[in-house]
Amino acid sequence: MTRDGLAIDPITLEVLRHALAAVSEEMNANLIRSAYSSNIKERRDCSCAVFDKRGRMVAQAESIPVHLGAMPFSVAAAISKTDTFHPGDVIVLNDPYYGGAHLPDITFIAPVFVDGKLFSFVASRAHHADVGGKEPGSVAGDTTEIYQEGLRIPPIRLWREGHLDRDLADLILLNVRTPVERLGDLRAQHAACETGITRVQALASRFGADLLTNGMDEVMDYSERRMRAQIEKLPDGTATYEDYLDGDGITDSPIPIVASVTIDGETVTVDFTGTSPAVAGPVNAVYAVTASATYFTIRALTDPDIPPNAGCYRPIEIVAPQGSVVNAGPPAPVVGGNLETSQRIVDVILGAFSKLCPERVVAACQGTMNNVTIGGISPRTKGHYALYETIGGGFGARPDRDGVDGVHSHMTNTLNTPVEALESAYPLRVERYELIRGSGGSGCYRGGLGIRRDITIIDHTARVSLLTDRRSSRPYGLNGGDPGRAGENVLIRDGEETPLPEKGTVTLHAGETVSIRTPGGGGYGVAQERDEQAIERDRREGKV
Amino acid sequence: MLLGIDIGGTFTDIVINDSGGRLRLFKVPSTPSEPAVGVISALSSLIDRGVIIPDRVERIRHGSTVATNALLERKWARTALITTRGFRDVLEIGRQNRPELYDLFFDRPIPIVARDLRYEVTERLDYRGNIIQPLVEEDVDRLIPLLRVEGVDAVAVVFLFSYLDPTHERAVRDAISSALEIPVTISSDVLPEFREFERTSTTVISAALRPVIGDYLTSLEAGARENGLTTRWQIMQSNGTITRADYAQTNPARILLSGPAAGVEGARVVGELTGFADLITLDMGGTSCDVSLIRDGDLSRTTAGQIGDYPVALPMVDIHTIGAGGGSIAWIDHGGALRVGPQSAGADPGPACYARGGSEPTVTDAHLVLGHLLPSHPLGGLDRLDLDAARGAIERISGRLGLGVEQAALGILEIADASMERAIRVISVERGYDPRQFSLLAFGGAGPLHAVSVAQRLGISRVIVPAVAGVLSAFGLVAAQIGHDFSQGIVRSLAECEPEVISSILSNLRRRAQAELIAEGVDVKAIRFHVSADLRYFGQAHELDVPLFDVEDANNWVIDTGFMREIASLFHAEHLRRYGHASDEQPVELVTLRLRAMGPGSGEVPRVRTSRKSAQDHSATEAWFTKNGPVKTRVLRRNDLPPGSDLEGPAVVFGEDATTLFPPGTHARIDEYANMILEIA
Repeated sequence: MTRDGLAIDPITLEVLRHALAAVSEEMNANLIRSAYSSNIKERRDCSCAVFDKRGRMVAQAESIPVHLGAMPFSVAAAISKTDTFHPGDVIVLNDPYYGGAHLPDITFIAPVFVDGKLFSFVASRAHHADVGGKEPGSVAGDTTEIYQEGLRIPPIRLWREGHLDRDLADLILLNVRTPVERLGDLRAQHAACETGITRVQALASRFGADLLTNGMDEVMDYSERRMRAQIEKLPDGTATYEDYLDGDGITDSPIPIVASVTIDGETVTVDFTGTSPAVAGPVNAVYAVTASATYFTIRALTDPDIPPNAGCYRPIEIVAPQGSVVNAGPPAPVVGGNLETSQRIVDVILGAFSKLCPERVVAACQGTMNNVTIGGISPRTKGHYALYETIGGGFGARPDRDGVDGVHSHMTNTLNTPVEALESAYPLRVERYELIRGSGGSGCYRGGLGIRRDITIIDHTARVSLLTDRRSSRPYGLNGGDPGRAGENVLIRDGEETPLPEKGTVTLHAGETVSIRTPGGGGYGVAQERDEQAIERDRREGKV
Repeated sequence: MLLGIDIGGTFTDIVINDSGGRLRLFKVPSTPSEPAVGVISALSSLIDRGVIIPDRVERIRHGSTVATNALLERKWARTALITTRGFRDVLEIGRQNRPELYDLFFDRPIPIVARDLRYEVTERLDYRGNIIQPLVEEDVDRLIPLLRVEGVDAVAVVFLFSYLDPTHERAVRDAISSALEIPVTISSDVLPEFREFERTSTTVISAALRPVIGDYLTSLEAGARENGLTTRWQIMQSNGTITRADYAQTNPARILLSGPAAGVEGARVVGELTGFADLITLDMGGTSCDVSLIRDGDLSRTTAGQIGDYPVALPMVDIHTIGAGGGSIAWIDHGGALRVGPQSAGADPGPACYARGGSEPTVTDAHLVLGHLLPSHPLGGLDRLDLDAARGAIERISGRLGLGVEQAALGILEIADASMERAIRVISVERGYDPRQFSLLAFGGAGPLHAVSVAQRLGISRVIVPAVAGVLSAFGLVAAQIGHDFSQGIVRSLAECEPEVISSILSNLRRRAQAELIAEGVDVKAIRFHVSADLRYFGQAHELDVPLFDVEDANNWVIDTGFMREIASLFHAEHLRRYGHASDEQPVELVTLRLRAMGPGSGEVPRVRTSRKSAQDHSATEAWFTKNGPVKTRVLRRNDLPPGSDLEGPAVVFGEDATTLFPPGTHARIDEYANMILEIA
């Protein structure tokens, strides 16, 4: 490694790397602290980042990977839509076709001024619990146009020179079901941006604006060097993998997703040619979502310690055909692209890598987030309520060990709602929350077990929206391992079970139970080679 | 005579206050494989030397990492868990998240109770504590022979909503206890609060460690008794207060942070003596650095703590740890950046300058090369340090960086400081506090070497280095207050809470607290109560701990409708202060009531032996503080700085086990307790 041509020395580089990462982390901590809704506060479905003047991401703090690649598109949209930035301006957007990911994710972009000149940007993104649309929670499984999914916000200046534009705020708040909470969360995002602005300005005065600018360039180049060094270690070659989403909630036909991965020296290309065209239902992904899933996979296969920024992703090329389910155009509905399709994108990229560097790749994880929204009028408060949950499942078996039981995988990592919290807040009762025996794919290493979570409606009638996958297709095994068991959505009425749709909305009455059984992970290696002690332990623990 | 004994990984520190009120400090090697052995042999030798006079010892206080080590090293009793039907996997699923986002090869912490020892019984309460499914006693009867056959040594019982009504948990405990001779731990005793996973985890840890901690404390007391020390032992709890050994024995989950909590409590007492109530503590040792925050003279505590990825929801001192210590290794990564840690040379082989086979450059080597440490000065149990070895190690990277040895060494320290700055920002800025309004209190072997430069990075203008910086944990033990935390989960809209109900819950907590403190030997009139509540807006998932009142006289509590309104307004105000917004119209939910009862402090002050002579220049060295080159720097011994004296940087002050660095522009005064108070220009 030559040190020639570095604008700053390796010590200052490391100090600035810490400092810039700390800015995004402080923004994110501030957002989580001051947010109103449990979606941000408890589930941490949010992220914050620092960008340079040209809109290149310099540092990011993310709690879940779905946010990884998406923000640069928001900042680019804000920059191209805005003629002149003034101190105190904040651009707000959520439209997936204008730099967003799906409508519940609202992004804030704020310019940072140093010595009266535009110096950089800070941004925060958070998943809001409701942005209007046809069902409470804005995560319906059966939309056919983005207009049904909620309020679309192009890049607008919601704060002008430090002042909230009340007219625009009123327009937004009138279109959502829980306006008080929304305003609280919007203010929290604003506070996070203010923290970022103050901190970047403090760094500029501590290090000097020019050094900090050079430092931003260097931090990106640094990540790029580390990513290139990591990719270099992978064997060159090309491999293709195809897998399916079960359906789009409108039709039941499987939706193929294809990834061809080419490793060439220090670069990787992921080409989705051959993937299904965009579909009628809400599982279309915009390019930003596909980029997030791709970046996640490559980070997981290389060195997750590389600071996430624009440089980190320079050696990665993504080819996503226009109009396909991984690069949809308006007015295709997209709410599930971020939640479900992103998981399958990871599955196919990992599947392709498994042919190139099998020792680094795990069998398929559950491949869904199992989005469940239950809403209605609470008999306790007489007011609207909406519970939104995602449920963990089986993690894929690894080349050297079993998959993990009952856990969130890949693109999400949000916490569950404790049973005691859920029942205290909503007119619902959780009947069981347990691992599903035998659901992990068998193999030399066993796939992780899925989860069964049964929720009963108490004293009222509720709407239940389901946005799930892997109910007919199964998470693949690798190297001779069996696939994990598919999930099931079931209605239990007077002890009798009837199937519920994979994606869609149903009405449940008092005393009826929705039972979500999530998929198990795929197995790795042939079952005949499984260690006797592991077999005995599984049998003793009732896991097989 | 009062003894404080703190067992650390390498050394066991013993602090003795003799009848003259002077503290004597001793360090002996720890015996990690059998921690009690080292303590007893050290006590016995101090008795032989006449330092400890057994008849005069009134109290022995102890802080140790034994419970934490037992948890992390899986020295668990064979434990069974009994849960509500449908929920035996709560312990294993946890919050269904994974510890690392991008690591495909992660493992969860192994469940302390394996699935085959987790049993379900039919019973159920609803969210108001109403019994909607009575306990099926046949289920319990069927379990007893199973527990016997499985040979379990401990049982934990956790039912949903048991914090609202413990009847079912108690019935199961009584049934098992009447049939089997094994300790049964129920969640409504350990942690009567909501969130079933955290409660289950805490209860199971408590159950699984009871036999281990019981054996340990029994052997300590027996060994001490053989040496004529008949007094009962007292133990530091994770919350920074002292309890008696038999309480710790039945509540081991309350002593997991015993050692670090003692250090922070020691810092608090030093702050009280020096008149500084807002402190950030920096405890830097060989492999890691602990930071924590003290505000208004009170330790920051959390109920969201974890020990090795196992949640423990009992109040514990909020300590943030990073891998930056004297032994942290400097290296150049694939991207060409200079990095420091988290790998550490530890104590063995230790830094290159220890000349025990270590060849990687460490933070300690950097200090030696820069003249902050002297080859002739003892460190880490060695008589001298090898400067050439330190230079050689740093040269391994300085050449690749294109820098001189000293420049590279300065870089190593700058990066270590940057990571400590970041750690302090996490516990201050990210929690809503401005570090500039705090003083930095540094201790541990390496803390005082970095204190001034870290303070400068954060805009902190005052650094305190206690006289007992090297044994602050042991000092914290002898100085700490006896205390107990109690709580009661409620989870109900504040508007629906009857004042009588709140009053009766608090009275109940108070009665239990009084009983415990009386058992500790505290005069009932000397008990001080601190009452707080965890509150949130309805719909929030995260609550704020809001102080309600502090009283000395428990009879002065009046909980009426006026007070209930005041609770709401205290919450709105705290929410506004912490998060920048509040909403008077939003309904407020009362989640948990908390009561802390404290006895008086021991009144111990860190009076250590110092010289009466004013500071004399023993020698001078050339030390580097900036890239501009070395400056002439005074070298002093801590004992040469009597109370009331002053000192201007640049200087290096050597203590018995900690070295303090005074960069140019630092002014220090030595207070009456021999603490160094540094003001940074």
